[in-house]
Amino acid sequence: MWPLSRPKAEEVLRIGRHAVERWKAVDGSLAQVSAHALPQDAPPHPQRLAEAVSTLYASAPALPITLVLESAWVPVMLVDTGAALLRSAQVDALVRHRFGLHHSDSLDPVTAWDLRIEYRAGSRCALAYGMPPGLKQTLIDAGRAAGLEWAAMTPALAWGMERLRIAKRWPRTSAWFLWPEQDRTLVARVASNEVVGFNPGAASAGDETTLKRLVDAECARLGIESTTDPIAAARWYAALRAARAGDRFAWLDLSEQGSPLATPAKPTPPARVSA
Amino acid sequence: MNGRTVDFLRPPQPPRVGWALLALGFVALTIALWCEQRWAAERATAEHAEQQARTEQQARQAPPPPLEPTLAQRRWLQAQSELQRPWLPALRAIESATVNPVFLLSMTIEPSKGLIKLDAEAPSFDHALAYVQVLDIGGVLEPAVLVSHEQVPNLPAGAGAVKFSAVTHWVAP
Repeated sequence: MWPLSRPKAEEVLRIGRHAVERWKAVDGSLAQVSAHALPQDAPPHPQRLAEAVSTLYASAPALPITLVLESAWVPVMLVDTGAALLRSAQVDALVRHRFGLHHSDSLDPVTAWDLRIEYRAGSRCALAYGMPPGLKQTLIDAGRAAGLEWAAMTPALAWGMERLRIAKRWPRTSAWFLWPEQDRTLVARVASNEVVGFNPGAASAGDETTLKRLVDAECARLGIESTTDPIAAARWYAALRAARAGDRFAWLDLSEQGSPLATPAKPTPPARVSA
Repeated sequence: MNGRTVDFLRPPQPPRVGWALLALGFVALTIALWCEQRWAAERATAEHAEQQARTEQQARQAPPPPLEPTLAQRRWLQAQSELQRPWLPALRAIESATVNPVFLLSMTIEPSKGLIKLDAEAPSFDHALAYVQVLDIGGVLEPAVLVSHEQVPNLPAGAGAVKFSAVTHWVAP
């Protein structure tokens, strides 16, 4: 990471399908401060997020806050761009079409979405994130109403990959990266600093065996044989025991043990709900 | 994968460090071009000086013009060339070939060309032809050429004669 591009925000607001969690960085590691549960029996609605923001931040912190939105709110998709060399406008149209196939809604058309696309010219894949304009405006308004300063509004997968420096871990080999979300697991195959395979809706998993099974299923889906590629699974809560030495599986902790702030024992649902 | 660029709060824009690197590259390119021009000028100057020095050195090392031969040397060289001409063998070959009934009327020699012109008289054309054919025996003279012949009457004897001219060259040693 370039020194100038290192994020300065120390407050993180994790927005998932089940809860909105407030995290704070202490000595480089994250610790959960509080959480606000979201209703499970109703479809996700941006107005619920505005209520959660106002609840979690009774008083505005001094530091700007990074909004980390999970894919239940900001969908992420790997689009096969083919062998042709595409222009940015062509990739944009292709991604909007693919998003429209899965997120078609007459009230919230994909054509109005704000897109961020990671695409290298000549690459066969484009990793795309889509932000509905209503959600973005709701979050901006909620922050303004609570007197908060948003440092960034970023998808959780992109944020986690940068924070854990996934691109630097396997510069010459391919690997598997599993990103945990509150309602699912994102399975990404990373090769040469690029996501070349992706499952945006794998089942939630918290143990090593289940995660390896997800990787095996993804291998079968992609038609590849990956028995030696390293597997790295991120987790928000610190591990109680270290990974076995020499194993291809490794945990990447976003928070560390012994954090000054309390760390919940169970990943989901949040340990403390202030609703 | 750059999470910094995936920010929906601000429009995507190239990082400032990119502009800085671009400016740095432009400055480096400008400096490189300036240095290249300067080095090219220095190289041209050095090559010109080297070429001039080489020309001067070649001029200094040029061989002196040959000395004019003295009068005695010129005479000696002339005499040498005269001595190298096969006067005696040529005359001896002509003398041995000219036998009765062929008579040599005149002989003209151009030494610079080695040309020998013979005017002779024979009783018949066959004698004249035989004479011309035997001139080159001995290898001193080249094969002779019968240039012309003329039938002339011989009044006192009442029989005719053939006057003819032949040309040959001596063989230079």
